Amino acid sequence: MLKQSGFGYYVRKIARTWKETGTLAHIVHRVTGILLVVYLGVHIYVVTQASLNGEGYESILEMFRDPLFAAGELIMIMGGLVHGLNGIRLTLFDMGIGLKHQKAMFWAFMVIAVAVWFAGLAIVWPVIGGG
Amino acid sequence: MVKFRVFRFSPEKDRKPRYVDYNIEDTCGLTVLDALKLIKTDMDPSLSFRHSCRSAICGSCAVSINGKNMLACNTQVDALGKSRVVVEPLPGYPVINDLVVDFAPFFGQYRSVQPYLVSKTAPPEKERIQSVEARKKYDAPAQCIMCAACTTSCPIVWTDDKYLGPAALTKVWRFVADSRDDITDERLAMVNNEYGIWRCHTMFRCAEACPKEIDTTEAIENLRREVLKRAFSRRR
Ligand code: HEM
Repeated sequence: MLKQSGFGYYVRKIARTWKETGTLAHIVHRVTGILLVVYLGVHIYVVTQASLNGEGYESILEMFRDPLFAAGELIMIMGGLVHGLNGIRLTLFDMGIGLKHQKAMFWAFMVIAVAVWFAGLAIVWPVIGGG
Repeated sequence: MVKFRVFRFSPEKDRKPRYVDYNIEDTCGLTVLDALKLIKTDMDPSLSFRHSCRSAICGSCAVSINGKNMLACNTQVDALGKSRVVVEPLPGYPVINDLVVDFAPFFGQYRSVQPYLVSKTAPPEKERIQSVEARKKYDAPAQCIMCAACTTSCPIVWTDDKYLGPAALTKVWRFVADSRDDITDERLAMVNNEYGIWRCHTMFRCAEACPKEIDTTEAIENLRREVLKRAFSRRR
């Protein structure tokens, strides 16, 4: 018999049907979830190290101001928003709300994510040295 | 003309699946099952697939059509609106031959959830009476023909053979929602774990695959809330 299961099969097969909204939401949620774990781990480590040695602190803050770094941070914020808002969507389903409108809910929450992201960008723009 | 690209795998000959194209000139009025039968009679008698009733009742002809699980007998070729139709076996389960997959895991999981009414009262003389209202509660899940389109569409099933999957879980909901069934607590305990309701990631693939339009995702969510409701009310 020909096996049709396992992690590799999951990745190949799910990549072929990513356009289904519920599947897309799952992929986006999983990828952003993993990115957040990695990012927050590194972030906490770096900030802890920085606050432990007084002299390095300024230089690390300087690194945060680097445009490339700022761009990375902005992408992570978008990832966090998307993950959090889709997480609320999934929790609403568990509460029995919106199951019949899952597709519309995904896109509505993504619109909110983008809107909040731009609002946040407007606030931090002067701080990261854009304006 | 429609080109049918059919998944072929013969365990004696092949180590990997092959895709073979068959052209059918006139598909007017043909279902995908008709097309497969035409291919078998006119072009290649070695093609294997399951089918029986031709009217979406027996649930044996579910296959993947252009990447989506559907009943071959219930899908008009022209309604797909494509000049190329890819027919593959249901995903997730091992392929025995061509479009025929091994359903042993599916029925194993189905049997494990006690898929029958369990009543603790003595059998009545005629039937167990149920109000029309109470019957309505499980109208949808009672439509299941066990074609496995839902369970095999689920990526969790592809990666974990212990997960009960949407068909078995929907069957549990069907009996939890049945006012005549007396083992609701046992049924909920059976699915209240990481291989039951809590494994679902709410992708809606199962509900979208169901040819009977049963909202299997909702059934799993209903079970989750039933478990939580009972857990909280017991604590108070
Ligand atoms: C804004 C707050 C957040 C909410 C509402 C939220 C919600 C959720 C929900 C509902 C799930 C389950 C998804 C599913 O069933 O497929 C989940 C999974 C996950 N979350 Fe979050 N989350 C939040 C923040 C975070 C953060 C800060 C991290 C990282 C440190 C994180 C990492 C993950 C990971 C790794 C998964 C597993 C993904 C998967 O298995 O597909 N989440 N989250």
